[in-house]
Amino acid sequence: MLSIKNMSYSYGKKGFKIQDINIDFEGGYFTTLLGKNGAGKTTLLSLMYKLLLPKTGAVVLNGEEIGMKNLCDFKRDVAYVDDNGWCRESMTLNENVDFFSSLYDKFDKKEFDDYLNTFELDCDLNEKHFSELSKGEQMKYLIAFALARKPKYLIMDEPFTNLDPIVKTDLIEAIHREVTGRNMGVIMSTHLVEDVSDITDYIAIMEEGKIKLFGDRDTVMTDKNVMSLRELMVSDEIVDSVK
Amino acid sequence: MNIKVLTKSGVPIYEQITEQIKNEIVSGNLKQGEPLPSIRSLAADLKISVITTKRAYEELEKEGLIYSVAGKGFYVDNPDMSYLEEKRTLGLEDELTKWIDSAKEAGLAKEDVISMISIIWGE
Repeated sequence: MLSIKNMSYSYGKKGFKIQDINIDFEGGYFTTLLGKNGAGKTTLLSLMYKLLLPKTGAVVLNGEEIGMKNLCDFKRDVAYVDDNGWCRESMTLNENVDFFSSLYDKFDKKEFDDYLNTFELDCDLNEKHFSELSKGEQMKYLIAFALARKPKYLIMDEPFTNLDPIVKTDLIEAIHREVTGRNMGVIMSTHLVEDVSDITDYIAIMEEGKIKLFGDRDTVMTDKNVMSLRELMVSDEIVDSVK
Repeated sequence: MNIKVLTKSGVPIYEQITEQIKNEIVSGNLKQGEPLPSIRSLAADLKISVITTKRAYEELEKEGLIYSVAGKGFYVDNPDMSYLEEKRTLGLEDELTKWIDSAKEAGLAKEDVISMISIIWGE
């Protein structure tokens, strides 16, 4: 179980706030964190992966509160993916894998190569650098690396925005196999209702720095309050595409 | 066991699964004591959520069609076949009633409907 306990955070005095969030994510299940842009999803996930320090509250993994002492173990057990990536531009893609995989004791190079094959990422990793890949190729590389680490939990911040639907389906299926096969827990954020896939077990709806609703997918999707949220988000998308 | 789910059919996915497994049992394709795929492997095969699959099995268990053995999985129970057959007939009757109502609304005569059925049946 990966939990957030009494978590609060704020940017500046009048700035954005995360307000007293308590939520538990079970291993072996896929949770979609759904909310409009600016709802606080990235902040919450950054707090969860200890990229930000909260004002109050704690991250707890399997009953153990995460602090300086167990932070390294925590980062081995939990993987984090967003569209920035962690690659050094001075190194090729292969050099990055060789260098950074040494940080993760369970990293399986063969599995990493298998994933790249499955995702059909065919480019010369000995030559190319991360910035030379397309957005879709970058995400294939990052997710292949994250899965080959065999983490207990995978946190993903808007991983599929701007990806072509076929790439998205391939990546989702690979992630789902880890969820069903070895009980990996997943927390994925998105601002698109369409991204709530069939493999989603739980949905958490975030609004103005708070978790508005959390439950299994069927319950949340049929909730009356969600229908209005859905309409709001859909109309937002239309406005975005008109711009 | 060959289960198919349509994600955009409007019928909840767990219902599609329970219906298909029920049919397999009633038709005798799945026999008493036969093991079902585990919740997680079925979820992986169908590319659907674990909770949806779990819910489908729980519904079947509630209806007495399957039973679970802790730590092992789910098996086909010894269901009351005559009850299931009866339920299936009742379901057909319900659908037929709805269908006849819409035929009436469309202004079809009883004879037209009967000849329509015999033509389609004959095929």
